[in-house]
Amino acid sequence: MRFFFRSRKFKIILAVFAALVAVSVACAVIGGTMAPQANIIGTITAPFRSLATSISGAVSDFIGTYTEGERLSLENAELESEIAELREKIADYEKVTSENGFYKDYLEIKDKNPSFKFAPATLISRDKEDPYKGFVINKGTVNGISANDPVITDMGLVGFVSETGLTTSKVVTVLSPELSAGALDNRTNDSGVLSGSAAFASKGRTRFYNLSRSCNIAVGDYVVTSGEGIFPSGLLIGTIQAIGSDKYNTSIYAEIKPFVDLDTVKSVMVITEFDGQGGLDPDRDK
Amino acid sequence: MQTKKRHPWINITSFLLFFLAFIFHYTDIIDINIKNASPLIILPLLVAFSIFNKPMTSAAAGLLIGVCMDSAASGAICFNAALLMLSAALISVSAERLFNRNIRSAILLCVLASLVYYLLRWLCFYAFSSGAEDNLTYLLSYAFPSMLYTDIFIIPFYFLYKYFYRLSNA
Repeated sequence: MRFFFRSRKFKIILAVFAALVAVSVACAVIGGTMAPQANIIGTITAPFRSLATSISGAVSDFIGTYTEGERLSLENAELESEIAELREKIADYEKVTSENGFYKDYLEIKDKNPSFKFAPATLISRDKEDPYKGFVINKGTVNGISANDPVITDMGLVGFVSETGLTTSKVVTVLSPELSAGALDNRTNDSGVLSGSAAFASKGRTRFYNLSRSCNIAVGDYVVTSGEGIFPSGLLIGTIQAIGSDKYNTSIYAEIKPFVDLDTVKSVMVITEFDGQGGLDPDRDK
Repeated sequence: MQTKKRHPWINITSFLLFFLAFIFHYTDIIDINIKNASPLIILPLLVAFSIFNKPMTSAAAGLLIGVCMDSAASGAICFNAALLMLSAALISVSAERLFNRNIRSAILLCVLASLVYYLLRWLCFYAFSSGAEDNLTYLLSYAFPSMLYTDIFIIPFYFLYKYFYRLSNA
C-alpha cells in the first residue's frame, strides 16, 4: 500500500486530481461556464442522450396511445374498426396540432412581449441526483444562449440557464434555492422573493417568501415574476397552495405549485433577449 | 494481479456497461427511482470494475465516467471526475493489497465509496448553500436512501466482473 503511494502512478493521479480541482476553482470564479473537459464530453455525448430521451418519449407515447385506444374500443365498440383506420391519421393530426399549438402559445407570449427573443430547445438529460430536477438542454453558446437566460414553456417559468457549453446548457429550475427572483401575487400585487428549498422541492413546490404580514394573498392566487433579478416581468410561475408564517413570525411565506410539470417537460424556450435584461446582475455583459 | 490475457470483448463490454449506466441515469429511458431514492448505478459498477483492475486503469475509467457525469449533472464542475478517479484508484489498491476480492470486501468498499460520495456531495453543494432545515432534508430524504439503493447494485456487478476476471485468467 505504502509502495503505491510513493509510486509515479499515484503522483500522476494526484496531479490530475489537482488539475481538476484547479479547473473547478477557475470555473467557479468565472461562473456560468462548464469545465472545458465536461464541455467537450458533453458535446460528444449529447447526441446519444438526445437519442435515448427520444426513445423513452416514443415508448411512453406508444404505451399512452395503446391505453387510450383500448379505452375507446371498449367505450365505442361499434366504432372500433373506424377508430383503427383513423388512428394513424389522428396521430399525425395530433402531432401537427400539438406542434402548431406549441409555437402558437409562444407566439402569444411573443406578441405580448415584442422584445423577447426565443431559442427553442429540447431536454436531453435529467440529473436524477438533483432534488431540484435540474436538466440539460440541447442548445449552447453557438445558439446564442448565455448563463442566466430565463427558461420557459407555454405554461410558465421553468428556471434559468446556469452553465453553458458549446452545444449544451444546464438549467436550474424554480424548485432550486439557487434561483432567487422577485415575484408578485397577480391579484393583490403583494411582492416577495421566489426561491426553492429541499423540503418544498420534495413535494414539487417552491417558496414565495418575505411577504409582508399585512399582505392579502390567498390560496389559488397566481404568482408571476416582478421583473427584479434575471427574469422579465409577468412570467407565470404557479399557484399558491398554502400560506404560512416564518418561525420568527415576522413575515409570511406561500407554498407555490409551479404551472410547469418539471417531471414531464420535454421542450422549452430560452429567452435570449428581453427589455431590461441584466437588471440586478452586475456581471451581465449583454 | 496476474492478468495473463485480457479478452478484448471484456473491455468492450465494460465500456458499454458504463455507457448504458450513464445513459440510464441521465435520461428517462428507465425510471427505477423509489420515491426520492435515485440509485447511482455507475458507482457500484466502477467499484466492481476497480476491484478487478489495476489502479491506473481504474483511475482512467473513473476519470472518464466522472467527466461524462459532470457534463450532465447540475452544478458539478469537476466534482465527479476528481472524486471518481481518486476513489477508483484507492479501491483498486485496497482490493489488491488490503482486502480479498470477495463479495464482503466488495460490499464494504461500495458502502465506503458511496458514503464518501454522498457525504462530499452534500458538503460541497448543500451543506453551506442553504438553511439547516434544507441540509437535513437533503441528507435524510435524498442522499441516505439513494446511498442504500445504490449499494444494492454491487452484488450483480461484483459477480459479473468476477466472471470476467476468471475468463481473463483462464
